[in-house]
Amino acid sequence: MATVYGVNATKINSPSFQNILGPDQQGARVRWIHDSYECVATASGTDIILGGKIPANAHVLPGSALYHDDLGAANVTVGTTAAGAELAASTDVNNTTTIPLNNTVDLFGTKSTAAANVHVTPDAQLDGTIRLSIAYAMA
Amino acid sequence: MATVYGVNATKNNAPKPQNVIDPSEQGGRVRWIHDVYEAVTQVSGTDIVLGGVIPKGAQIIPGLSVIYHDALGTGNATVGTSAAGVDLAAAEAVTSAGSIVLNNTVDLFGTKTTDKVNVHFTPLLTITGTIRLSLAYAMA
Repeated sequence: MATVYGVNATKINSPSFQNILGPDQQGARVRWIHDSYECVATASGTDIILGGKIPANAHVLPGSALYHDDLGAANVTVGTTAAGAELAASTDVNNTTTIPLNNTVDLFGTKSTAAANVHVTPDAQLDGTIRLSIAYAMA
Repeated sequence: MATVYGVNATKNNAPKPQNVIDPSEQGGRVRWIHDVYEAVTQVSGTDIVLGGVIPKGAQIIPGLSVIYHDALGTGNATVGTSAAGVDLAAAEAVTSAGSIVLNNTVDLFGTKTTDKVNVHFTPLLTITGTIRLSLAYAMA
């Protein structure tokens, strides 16, 4: 049966100046960010910023998640801009659970293009704890 | 209630030359590999090699290691460190867009690589769509 190679595996198999692999793609360094926020009658539309900045050209890794209490009858989006949904589309937070970040074939694999924070945006009032775990890889 | 200790916790509690903890197991360095492949009517059994080499002595880390995929067709795929291997994930459906988590059982996880290896994705059907690898490993 045939053997085929991924985009980066192909470059590794044919080393040339044109095929230099970005060091963020193979053997990349992994770093981690943690933060939490205690919501107390936090109003709809509040821009909740968590953690320090994720650098430009970082890949947010699978397994990154926003853990939360039962925050009330609301949904939140998680993104890298105010009201953004680049990390997770609108998700119900009316129970204690976890929002996985960047976990689809389309979301994952796109590098950050500028230094960015994580923004959580509710569509209704929130009460309770939110806690961020985010790992990213970079050169 | 009794307190008991894991293998490495036990070593950590009794430091001596015989109890030195493998540096890959405590504060191990983490590195990451990314690759993508666009499958176009790739037939069953094709050996799809993703990423560069994972070094010998590495532990593949659950949670950070995943293959994301489009809806590839009605059937399963396996993921391993050799052609047609299943040492990272047993046969799993790829019929709908989703993900295959790697090395995430008590039996799969915890075994170090014994040689330099690549990731091999093997479809058990003809597939079309995107396959994207995220793989993190820890080593000394």
